[in-house]
Amino acid sequence: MSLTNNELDHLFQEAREEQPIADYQETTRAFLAATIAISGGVLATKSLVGLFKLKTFLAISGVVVATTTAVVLNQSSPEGGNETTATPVAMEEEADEQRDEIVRHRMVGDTVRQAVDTSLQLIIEELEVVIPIAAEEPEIVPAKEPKGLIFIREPSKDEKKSIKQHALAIIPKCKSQSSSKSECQNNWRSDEYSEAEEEYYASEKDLSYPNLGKKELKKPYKTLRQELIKDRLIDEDRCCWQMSIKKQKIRVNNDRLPDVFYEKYARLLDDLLDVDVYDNDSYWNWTSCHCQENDCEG
Amino acid sequence: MTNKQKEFLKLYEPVHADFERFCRARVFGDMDFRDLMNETLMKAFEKFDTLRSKEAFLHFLFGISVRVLANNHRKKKAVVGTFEAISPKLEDTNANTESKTEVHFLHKALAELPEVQREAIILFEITGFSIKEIAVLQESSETSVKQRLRRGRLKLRAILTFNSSDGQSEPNTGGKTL
Repeated sequence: MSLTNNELDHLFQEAREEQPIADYQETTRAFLAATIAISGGVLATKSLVGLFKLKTFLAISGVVVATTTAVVLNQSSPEGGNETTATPVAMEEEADEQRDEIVRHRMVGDTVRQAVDTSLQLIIEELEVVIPIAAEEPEIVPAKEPKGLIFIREPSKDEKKSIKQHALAIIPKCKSQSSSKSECQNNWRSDEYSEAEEEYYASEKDLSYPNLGKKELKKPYKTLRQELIKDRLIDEDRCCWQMSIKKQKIRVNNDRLPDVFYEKYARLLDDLLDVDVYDNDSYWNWTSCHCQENDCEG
Repeated sequence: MTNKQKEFLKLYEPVHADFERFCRARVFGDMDFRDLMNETLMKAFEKFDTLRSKEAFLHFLFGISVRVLANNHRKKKAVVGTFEAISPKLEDTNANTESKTEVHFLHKALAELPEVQREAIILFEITGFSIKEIAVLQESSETSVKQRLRRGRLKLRAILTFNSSDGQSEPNTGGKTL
């Protein structure tokens, strides 16, 4: 006779109502023990990993090697255990005996001690290699100071800005007021100056730098020539002279301008002729001849 | 005991009986159900932080135990072959004199079913899970679960009938004829 669905349901009902064999307390205990074991295992693993970090490992290996060395030395000594209790006289005798024994060993060609010595030497050599690595610390290298560099003072941002503003304020005036290009070139500086501009030029504190007034700005080449004569860079009697700028270098009559004048003339050229000497690409050349015919040298 | 352990055990206590029954029925003749319980609990404790709802704790436990068993069987298959092939030779490692005889035979019959059918029937009939929940646990459709339940029941009836008519074992069904 086959089993009916109801009978099967009855069996399942029995299974549902059955009391658990493993009680809650037993399961809880097993669970807690397992969690403690696992957390203990994790801790042990962590500590082992921490223990075997490079430095610690090397330190431990050093200690182990040292201990092994001590043990080997102790074992290789024939009367190692009695050394501590011996009197000075006995120790001397003992040392003599040992010395004699070593001599005897060497004489008879005993290789055991030699082998021990060699192995100890190897261990010591190994230690000599290992310990510096363990004690390796980052070296502190002092920052090198620049040597042999010449710091050239550049005009500050404010100065550059003021100069630029000044030039921009003047050039448009020239364009609007002048009827032709040549006229503009001849009179590129306007006669009308604002009070602010006057103040700007009057406020220059550098004594070596000329006070560029209305007159000087109007005749920039003349001003430049006067300054060159004043600084004895050109001879006043010489009717022709030449000045050029190329790759940030200023030359007067093909001679390089002395460094002491560099900053002054760079600024002067910028102010008077709007030539930026500090620009590596700027190129400017000026030849002046104001002499009579056949009076010019070269 | 840490707070996490306390909270975990607080949730586990009310579902212990259901969980124990499931484990016992599920691994009958295969392994000690206590091992499965412990392994499941450990894994559940590890992943306890991922539990979204406390009400779903039993579902959470069953999900883990189902995966644990699936992994165990996958490993076992490679070594000893299919569970069906070896199941008749296995002895009941969870034998308990206090256990009722009919439940013992039911578990024995359940052990002869294919894995997924067995699991579906235990979850549905013994643990009281819905078909939808079983479908989620077994990662299959509800129709598949229904089919498994139907076929599983038919097989169970056949196994239990054969056993009773064979005379080798006579399950006590409370006076009813099997």
